[in-house]
Amino acid sequence: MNDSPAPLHRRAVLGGLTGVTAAGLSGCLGRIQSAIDRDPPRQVSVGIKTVPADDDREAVRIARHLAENLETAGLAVTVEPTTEDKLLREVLINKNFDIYVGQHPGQDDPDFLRAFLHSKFSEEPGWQNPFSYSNITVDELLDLQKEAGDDRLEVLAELQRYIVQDFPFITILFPEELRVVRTDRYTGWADSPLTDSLGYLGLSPVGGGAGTDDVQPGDGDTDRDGTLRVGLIDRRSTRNLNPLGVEFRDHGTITGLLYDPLAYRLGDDYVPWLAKEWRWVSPSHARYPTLELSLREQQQWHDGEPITADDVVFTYRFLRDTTMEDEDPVVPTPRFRGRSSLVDSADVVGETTVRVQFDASSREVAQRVLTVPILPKHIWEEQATLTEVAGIELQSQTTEALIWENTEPVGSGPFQFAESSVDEHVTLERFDEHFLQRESLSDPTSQFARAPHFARLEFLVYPSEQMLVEEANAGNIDATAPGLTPERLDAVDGEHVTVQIDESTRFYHVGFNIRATPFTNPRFRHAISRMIDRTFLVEDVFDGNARGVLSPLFDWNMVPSNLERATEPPYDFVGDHGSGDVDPDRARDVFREAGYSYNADQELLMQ
Amino acid sequence: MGLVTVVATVIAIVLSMLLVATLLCIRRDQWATTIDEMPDRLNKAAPYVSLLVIVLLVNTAIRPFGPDISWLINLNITGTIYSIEGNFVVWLQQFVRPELTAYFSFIYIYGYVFLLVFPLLAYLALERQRYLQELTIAYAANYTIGLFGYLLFVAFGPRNLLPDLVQQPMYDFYPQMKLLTSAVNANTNVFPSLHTSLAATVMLFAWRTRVSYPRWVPIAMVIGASVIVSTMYLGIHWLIDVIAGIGLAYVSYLLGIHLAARWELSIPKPRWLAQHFGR
Repeated sequence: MNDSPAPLHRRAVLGGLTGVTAAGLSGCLGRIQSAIDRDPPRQVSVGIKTVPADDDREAVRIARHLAENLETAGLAVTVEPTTEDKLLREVLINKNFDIYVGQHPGQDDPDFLRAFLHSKFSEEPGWQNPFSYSNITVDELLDLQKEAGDDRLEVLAELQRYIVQDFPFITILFPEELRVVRTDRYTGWADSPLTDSLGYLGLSPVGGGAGTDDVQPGDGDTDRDGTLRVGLIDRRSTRNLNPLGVEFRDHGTITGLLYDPLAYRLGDDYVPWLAKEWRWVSPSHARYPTLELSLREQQQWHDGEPITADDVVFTYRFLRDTTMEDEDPVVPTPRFRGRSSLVDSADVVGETTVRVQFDASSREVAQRVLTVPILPKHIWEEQATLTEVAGIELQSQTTEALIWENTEPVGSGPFQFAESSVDEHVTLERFDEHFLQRESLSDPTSQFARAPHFARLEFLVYPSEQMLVEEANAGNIDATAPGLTPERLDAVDGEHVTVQIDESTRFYHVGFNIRATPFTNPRFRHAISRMIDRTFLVEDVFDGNARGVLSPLFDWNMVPSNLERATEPPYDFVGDHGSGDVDPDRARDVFREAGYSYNADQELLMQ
Repeated sequence: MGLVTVVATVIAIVLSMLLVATLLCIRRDQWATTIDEMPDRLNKAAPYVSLLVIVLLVNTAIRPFGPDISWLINLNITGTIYSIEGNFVVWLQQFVRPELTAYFSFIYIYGYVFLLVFPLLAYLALERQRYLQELTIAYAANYTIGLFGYLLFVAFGPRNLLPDLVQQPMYDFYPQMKLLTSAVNANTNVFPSLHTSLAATVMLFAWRTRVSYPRWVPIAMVIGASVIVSTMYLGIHWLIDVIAGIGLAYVSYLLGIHLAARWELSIPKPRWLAQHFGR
């Protein structure tokens, strides 16, 4: 400070001003920093992937129902329709999704949950834990039910309670599968569903060949030379008939007709098929059971090569690792994984005898392995090489076996491949060297003696369900593939045209990518489950042709009673049951209880 | 009805419509002159028509692979379109009635084909062949730019995303039409709407040639506008696809005029033609 008053005054004022400004600015900047430099919470934004309505109208409607209710609850939601094989690739292989709505491929035994949920499968492609779910208790329960004897039901009950609390996925309903069939040329439709390959073997021609132009005059066995025509929309099988191609198969009906298993499962019984008989060579309560099976004599593949024990041993080894080598990487098949993972080793004991050593499991569960299709070693061992393909992002590599289109399949099934045309048709013909044609059979296989009772099976592709019904009405096809939308059935018209309704184990579900926030949080997943009105979906979307459920087990005898209905807290829908719409206040409360908060615009915010 | 029957029906009905339109719009002396000068005119038109044919062939060759390419690029804009546009098509469909469905289904297939073919004939019958050249170039531009749109984006139409809200009246009442439409295009290719862009292109040219063909103007405008509305009425396209289609039409229209002026193409007359027709 000096003693000249004017400059002093000015400097002081300037200094003072600077000081005040600096102080003010830093205070202001401090506030700005505190307020703005925090990342502002964003609205929760979710993408729901499903197929387009052309492929499955009901799946889209379920997705839209969920989307609308989540939007009411303050989330930003986009429904992303994705063609079926692309969707399966994105969900099951690339794990590139938030939520998907889809149908499970189908279950034969509660053990299917092990491959569906066990954490050790979360890195594998296919229907093996696509959610990347990892829960030690659930893992233990899954392993326990595999080995459990009399207490299996209790273990399963406990397992279901966990699933329904933690919601790695949300089971919505079991649909009934609808299809249109004609009764004037073939009969036996009701005996077993056509999603099951056995269904085709149960059909027989009605009387003489009235109205058929395939009947040759002078044929002794005219009844058996007909052609059965089935109409489909799903054209994937015209491009790919690889039983291991997970994105190309639903229930695997057509490949199931071309490839035989050792045994089929009918209800609780196993029907000996490629295997004539089998016996347990381990004590009845052995932890690691051993089975010895014998193939029928002198069976052959469609190309004339003999079926031997080598093929069976090869198949089990191949399913576990399609590289067929003892070193890394190990590339298991994405299909049949639950079953193939039960086998510890398989050995050739004789020309047609195989000994199978199982992992720790009960006999009940181990027997599932018999239903896996057997592959010809001489064809598939060439496909056991690693390959590199763009479009599949996985840390493990993939093998030729998994991406091969196999458009001229060689199997051992009662039908062999005849011809196909991309996006148009797949045609099979009866394989006359099949054991069903030649052997004398004992029960329960004898009911299929000499099946199929027609010479050709044509799967014809049509562009829409409306066309399928028209063609059935006109008599150009004998049946449609199952899975028609209930609305279509109003157009069914004709004296010999009728609707077939079958139960299906292929439940619709919502799957989460548990690796992605906010789906990592089970409370968030639980909140989402409260936005689903099963009553509305069953009545409005499925026209009553469905069963709304909480548990993914098809056999309701195995479902604990308090899980039978989804209408009790804490599972109930936060709105009027049957209306389809959530109550906005109650919906927001559910998310608040899960620990989330809203902004002034009622948008749900990420934590 | 199989695909062959559907195609045959389309050809038959479109031919009848062409006949009626010809009688209404084109004078008899015009036809006489056209037939006289046919070799010359075909000669002049040949390079432009060939260009269009090549574009169409390339389109047809690429079409089966289109969806796979689009999925690899993976720009699925269906959800985005819906979030911008909202329920416009739903609103439009409140007017759905059987009579209108019959009309718009007729327009979407038969009206559309007629709308595209008639101007080719009409402009061939003009002294000034420039308009035919402009039109064929515009068509080629539509298809070429449209193909890029198809390959780049995956977009499903409203009937595929909103089956709870949007109807598909044509496929419900006339299911065999799906045989034809699915042979021509995939359900992932709604953006931009080629139906709209080609119809709008024809409408723009109809106005351009209003002095030569005054009667064609109202016909083209009514049918063209109906085609554009039908794409949404039938639940096939979004409003955004239609807007993009109109934009595409305008660009193609300008390209047609501009390039026809620049190119002035012609192929040398083959000798046999000159000998035969003595010119």
